[in-house]
Amino acid sequence: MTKAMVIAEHVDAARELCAGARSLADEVVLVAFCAAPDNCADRVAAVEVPSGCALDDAYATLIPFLEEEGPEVVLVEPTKRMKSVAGRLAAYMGTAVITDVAALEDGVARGMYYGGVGQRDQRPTTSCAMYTIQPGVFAECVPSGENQVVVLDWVAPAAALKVLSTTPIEKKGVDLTKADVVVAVGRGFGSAEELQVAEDLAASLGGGVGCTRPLAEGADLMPAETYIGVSGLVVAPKVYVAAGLSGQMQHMVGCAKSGLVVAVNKDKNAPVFKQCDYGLIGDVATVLPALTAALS
Amino acid sequence: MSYFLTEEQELIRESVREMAVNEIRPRVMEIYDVEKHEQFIRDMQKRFGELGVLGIIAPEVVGGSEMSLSALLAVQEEVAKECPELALHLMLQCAYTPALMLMPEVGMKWCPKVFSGEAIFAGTMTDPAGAMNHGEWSEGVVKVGDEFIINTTKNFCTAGDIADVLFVYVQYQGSMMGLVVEKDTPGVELSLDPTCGLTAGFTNISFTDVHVPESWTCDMSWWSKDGVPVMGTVGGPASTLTASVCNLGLMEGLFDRTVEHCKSRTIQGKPMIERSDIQAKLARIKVKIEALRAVLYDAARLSEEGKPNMELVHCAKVMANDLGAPVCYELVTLFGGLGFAVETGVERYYRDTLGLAIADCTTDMHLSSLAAQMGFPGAVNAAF
Amino acid sequence: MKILVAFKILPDDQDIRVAADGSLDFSKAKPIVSSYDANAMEEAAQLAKACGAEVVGITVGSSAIDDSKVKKNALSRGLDRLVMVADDTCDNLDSHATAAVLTQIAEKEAGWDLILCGDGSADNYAQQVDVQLAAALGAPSVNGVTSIKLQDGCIVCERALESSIETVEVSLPAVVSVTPSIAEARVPGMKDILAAGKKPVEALVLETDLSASVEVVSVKAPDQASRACEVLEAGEDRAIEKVAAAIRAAL
Repeated sequence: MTKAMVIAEHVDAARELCAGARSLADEVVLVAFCAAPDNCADRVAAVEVPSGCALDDAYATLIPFLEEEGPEVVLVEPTKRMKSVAGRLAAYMGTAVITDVAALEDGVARGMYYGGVGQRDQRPTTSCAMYTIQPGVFAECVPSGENQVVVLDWVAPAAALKVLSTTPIEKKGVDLTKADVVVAVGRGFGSAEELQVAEDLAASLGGGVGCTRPLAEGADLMPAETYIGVSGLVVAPKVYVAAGLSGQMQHMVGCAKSGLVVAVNKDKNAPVFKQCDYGLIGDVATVLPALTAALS
Repeated sequence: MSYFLTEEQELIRESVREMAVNEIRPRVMEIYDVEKHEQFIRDMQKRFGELGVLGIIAPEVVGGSEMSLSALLAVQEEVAKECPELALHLMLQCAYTPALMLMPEVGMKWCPKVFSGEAIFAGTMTDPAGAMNHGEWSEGVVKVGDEFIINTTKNFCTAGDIADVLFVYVQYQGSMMGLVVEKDTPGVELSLDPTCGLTAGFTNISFTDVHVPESWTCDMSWWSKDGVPVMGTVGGPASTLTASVCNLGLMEGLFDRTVEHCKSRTIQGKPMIERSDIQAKLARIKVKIEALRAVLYDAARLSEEGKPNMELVHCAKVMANDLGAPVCYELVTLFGGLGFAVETGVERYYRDTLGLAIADCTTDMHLSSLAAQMGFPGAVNAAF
Repeated sequence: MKILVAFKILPDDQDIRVAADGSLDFSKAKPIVSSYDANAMEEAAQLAKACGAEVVGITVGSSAIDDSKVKKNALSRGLDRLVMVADDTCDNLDSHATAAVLTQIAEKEAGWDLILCGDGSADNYAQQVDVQLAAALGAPSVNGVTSIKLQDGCIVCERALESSIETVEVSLPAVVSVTPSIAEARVPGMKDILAAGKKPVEALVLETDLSASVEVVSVKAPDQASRACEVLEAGEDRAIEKVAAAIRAAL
């Protein structure tokens, strides 16, 4: 009997990874830091993080559980804290986690290399294979299971982290990872006023606005959580409008799986024009309003 | 860049390259704007100061790093790729230190301020009779007691309109003299002259009864005596090569942009870069760039090693002058109409290269000097 | 106080080329400091300046990382010293093995208070070495950190999670992984560069047993999603209409 363990902190990820786990192993055990999805695993261990404790420290609770369960495969949601937990478990098991897997077949995991300059296939050589898996990899799989409850009591590690406060990030607007339309803005936009035409286009199509790294960090024109690319969001909407951005690899890998890609840039030589379905050479200040008008 | 830089020189060149691409490139068109150029130059001066590049060849006693001429040239080259005029401006901030140090009071006051990027320096030489035609300049200054009083007109001073401190060349008793005048000194009047290229602050300056204490003056007869520039002065390689390298960087900057353009622009369905006629054209321009690089940095290296070769120095300036315009013509035309439109930022290289072929003496003048260096009978040293 | 910065030296991805057979050609790519690690170095330098700490860069890789120029580059970014293990058996180590060798170095630098790591390396971007290193050293760790305040025996960090910002207190010694927004990496200036060549560099002999947990099956250029690349001048007749129609069709 082969066993797969899933560790997740969001319901959608838990469901998808459990579905994937079901396709890979006979038995599925879910460790959930959220409500467990219905009928997704044979057993579910819901872990409650005590107030003031950090989810990252759950490794102390999970290490004995992992040892006891002895799964051949561990699938983990790729959030910051989940990566931290996975890493601690891997360290204990004497192995390394294979991260941000975009495709998994017969134990061979495909992922980006050098931010998308290359792609690399890797395989674990240890008896416990651990992966963090990108959303969408197991979208076609079907979860199942009785969800038998397992109780795990919190074990605090030595030198535990103390969470002094948690402030939710006000997500103004659309969840870009779920939107059908994303308009991404880059250095071609110099000010907050100039962004209006992008917001208008996105709004007219019921979508959201994302950005490239310079706008989220240096120029500080867009919220950090709307940054699309390596170390940021990966989105795959039906329509992606790349506006006033050059199309650097580090950004484009964040939207490569989009349906239709439309690029707008006044620089004929911008690399983005080699990675789009349609390109419009022109100033975003005039082209985006023209598109919005044509679509209304 | 030179193929023979030390690791430290390579590292500072890379830092300046990073700064040039990230900070100069996005704002470069401001230098061509009458309203914006001062702020742009001041901002870039401050950044050069922070990087320690303004004092790159200066003595440590005034806050310099005492690096070699090649290091300054390599750094200027990176700046020139993005903004040829700023590279020329950088040269002026760096290259006048020896002259300023002849006046200890001035050197100790102004060099640290210039090197830190707080202050801007300009040298004003061109006389209505001609920049190097010293014999026909009228005497620009008289001595009264322990003061000198300047009455003269100077043309075409780069950054003259924004400079905090000016170095003024005047003829005095038949030979050259230098005086330092601070901004806002009574009697100094500025007027801007629009030009074809290198458009920031080409300034005409008139001096009317401008008083300068003797300690703020220096004898420049070692540079120009009895109305004629002295051959083979110590400063010759530095001043000429720092002007020549601006054209090297200019050509490389435009070349790189053109190659990128040819990679994405298609003709009859194929990227231009795949056409053999375009490849040959670009390859031939590469030959010219490398030829200039070799002569320029060889001349620099010989100078650094205490064996200055003025023939090679004049060769470098002639090559820089004469290659610039034809190379720019070929590169700009590869863009078609896009290259001719101001907004694309391509044609400005063509205009700037004309300015660089005039600044620090034209080809005719350098050929005259080269003939003199080669000992041809009756040859006159016309350039510095 | 002593701050270690664990960083990676790897080929400059700008100069990685794709060979005709789709494989990656690294021959023209010179060794550089991984870009997000420069932000960690800058943060370490700023913390050190505020509290008078020593900053030591630690790194492991193949013999190629023992390159004079890249060592100076690292030392020009706010480090006081550099300690490395440069051994050809240490080429492309996974996070577990990397952490094992960094532990060897950290144990030699006994008495360290804080280890900073970048968000992820330019090649793998695994974001695992920080946690693996903390586990090996028996220290607490926190990732995604956007600001650090030094206090007595501990640090208070702000970290950016996907939907929230957490303020976390971590007792020292600790390992912290920082995001690039924590500090803008300096463009090394003349002073930094000239001083770099005089700073101490130690190359330690590898004394760690290495075990590989991961096997690389293949590396190549990515399968390109081939896109139509129909590029039009926005002002061209009916260009906007054409694109609008395509957008409508896709929705």
